[in-house]
Amino acid sequence: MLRESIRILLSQYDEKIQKVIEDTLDYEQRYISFGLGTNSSKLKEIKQDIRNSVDKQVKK
Amino acid sequence: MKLEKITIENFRQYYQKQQVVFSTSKEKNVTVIHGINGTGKTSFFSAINWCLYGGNSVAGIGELINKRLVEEAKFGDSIHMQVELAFSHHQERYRVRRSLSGRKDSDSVEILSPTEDFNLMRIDYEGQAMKIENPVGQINSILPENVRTYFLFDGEKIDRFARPESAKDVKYAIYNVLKLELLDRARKHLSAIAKEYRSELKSVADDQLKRLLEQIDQKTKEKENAAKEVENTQREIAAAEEHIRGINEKLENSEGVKDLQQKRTKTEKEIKDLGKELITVIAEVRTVAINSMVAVTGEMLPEAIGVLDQKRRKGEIPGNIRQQFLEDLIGKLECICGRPLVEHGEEYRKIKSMITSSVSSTLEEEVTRLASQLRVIQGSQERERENLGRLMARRAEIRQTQENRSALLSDISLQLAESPLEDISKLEEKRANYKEDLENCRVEKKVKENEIKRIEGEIKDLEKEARSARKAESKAKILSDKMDLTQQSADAIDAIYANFADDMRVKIENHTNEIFAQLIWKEDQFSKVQLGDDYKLAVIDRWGKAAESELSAGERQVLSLSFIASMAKVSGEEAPLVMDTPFGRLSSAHREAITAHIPELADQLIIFVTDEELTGETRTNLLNRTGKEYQLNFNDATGCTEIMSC
Repeated sequence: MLRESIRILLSQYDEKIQKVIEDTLDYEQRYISFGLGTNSSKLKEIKQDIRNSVDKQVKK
Repeated sequence: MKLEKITIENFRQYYQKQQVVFSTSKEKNVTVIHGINGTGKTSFFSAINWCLYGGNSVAGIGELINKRLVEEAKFGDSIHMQVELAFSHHQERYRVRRSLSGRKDSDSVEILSPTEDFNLMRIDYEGQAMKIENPVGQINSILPENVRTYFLFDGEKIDRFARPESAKDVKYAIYNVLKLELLDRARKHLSAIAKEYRSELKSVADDQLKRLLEQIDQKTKEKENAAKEVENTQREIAAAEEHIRGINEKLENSEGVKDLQQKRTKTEKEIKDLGKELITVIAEVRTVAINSMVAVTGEMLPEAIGVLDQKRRKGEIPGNIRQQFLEDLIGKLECICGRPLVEHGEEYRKIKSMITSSVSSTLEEEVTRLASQLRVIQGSQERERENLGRLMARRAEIRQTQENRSALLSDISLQLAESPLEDISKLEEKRANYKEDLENCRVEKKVKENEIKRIEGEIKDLEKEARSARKAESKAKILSDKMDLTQQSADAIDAIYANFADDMRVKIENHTNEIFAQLIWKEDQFSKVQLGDDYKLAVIDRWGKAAESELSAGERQVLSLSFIASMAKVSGEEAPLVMDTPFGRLSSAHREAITAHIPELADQLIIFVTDEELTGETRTNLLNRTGKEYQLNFNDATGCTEIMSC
């Protein structure tokens, strides 16, 4: 429900922004599901994952 | 999630292995578990919670193991307790099992070294079980622990969402159930990464760009500080309001000034209601003025109609006579009265001249239509003008009443301040101080909020400037692009968050409204439920006034239930509604209305009820939708409960 609604709202943005946000939400969802949301080393991992997604989009 | 079966073994008063199969039918989606007080309804309810979420979800973990089992065990015997739930979720079937084992080691009933074992299995279509490696995470992704209390709840405590001070709970519930945490985390992390990129960029940027980036950093810090100050001020506002509420209560309970304080409370409420009405009236004034264009067109319409009428009278625009009709008369050489028309006679010439002076039939029709439309508009404008006049009069009346009520409040305050009773005058003095603090805080908060908006504008301008500066510098280009993309993503998700949260709030408000209207027996007394920007759940009465202070405990329970059901609907969360003794505080009218509708509000409903809760029509309503029914029988001799299928 949330992801569907977000997808609709996202459609007005540039494709690269859409991709970065979609990726970020996937990472966050994964960490929330695993109950790791507040683990500091995992937080670093999330940030690195997001940076990688940004890199990938910028290089395109 | 749809619960299929629970197996309880040696959990609290459930001795040995006992099983309950829940109804999973669509038509008969209710499972009713009856039991008088003390038979183990709450223990059964706890067993579901404990199995899914473990020790934190139930109080008194040491008391979980069945006492008869411990008593019967010999020293050194191992003791085992377990709850297993079979459930389905999105076409997948699961079994979750939590158990606790120990050893009887002394005369006491204490269990040494208890360890919880938790397993989750996915059952494939052939019935084969596959162990899930991260059971906690998987259960949390199916029904998150922070959401469970909105689906599995103690019916008697359910009214919490409808209490006047409940805005925080309501907001938190929406935040959790709609998984706004996900968006919140994403926006925080994207902003943090954008900041990191900005810092990296500074090390490779030229002087002008460095200066701009430092300015952006500075402004971002200012914005964060201002946001913190808004939060602090909000806390101070809440504290001052709480103090004032406390003083009001004391004054209301003080002999001698009780009436005065009650009058003040009533007057304050009137002023508040008038304020709300004033906002509505002003909005209506704006709508009427815009829609009818009253102010713009003014006297232009009657003037335009006058011009058209005058031209028609002069024959410059003929009336609605069809040219074809005149031509037919000439063709037949017969007048409408039956007299023959003599060719080139006087009448003949007159009709001929009418045809010549007649404009085309299309123009004629258009002019006629225009005049008639102008008259319709004029009529509607007159009505709107009257409406506008009425609204303006009401606006003036409200303002005057507000002034009068404010004067009355000053008067009451003065009387209390000058009270010969020292305690009262001191209380009033304190109250006045808190009131002043409150007002100052509200002003301060507004100022800071405006400051945040201003800073945001400045940051945007600086970013634009920095973007142009960066473009000139190839070295920083890649970092700059990354920073831009991250910042734009953060801004986008920020906007989406605000948009989505507001959209969901409105949807929840609408659904709560619909459900509340179905469940409340005073159909005409309450006109609607509001879930405002401040997340306060309010009921508006038939006179358009807030009615939360008049709601009975049962009505608050109905309001909370409506809110929970609407959240479940809006979130699309597939979850059962498990309610422990939900009807205890409700009158029969509410019980009947709730039992008539609640099976439709959830995919699956499991309720624990006492015999008194389920009688007459209430029972009939629910049993029509009941697929499974059980009775809890407590055996006084053994101290244990047996679950019997009805």
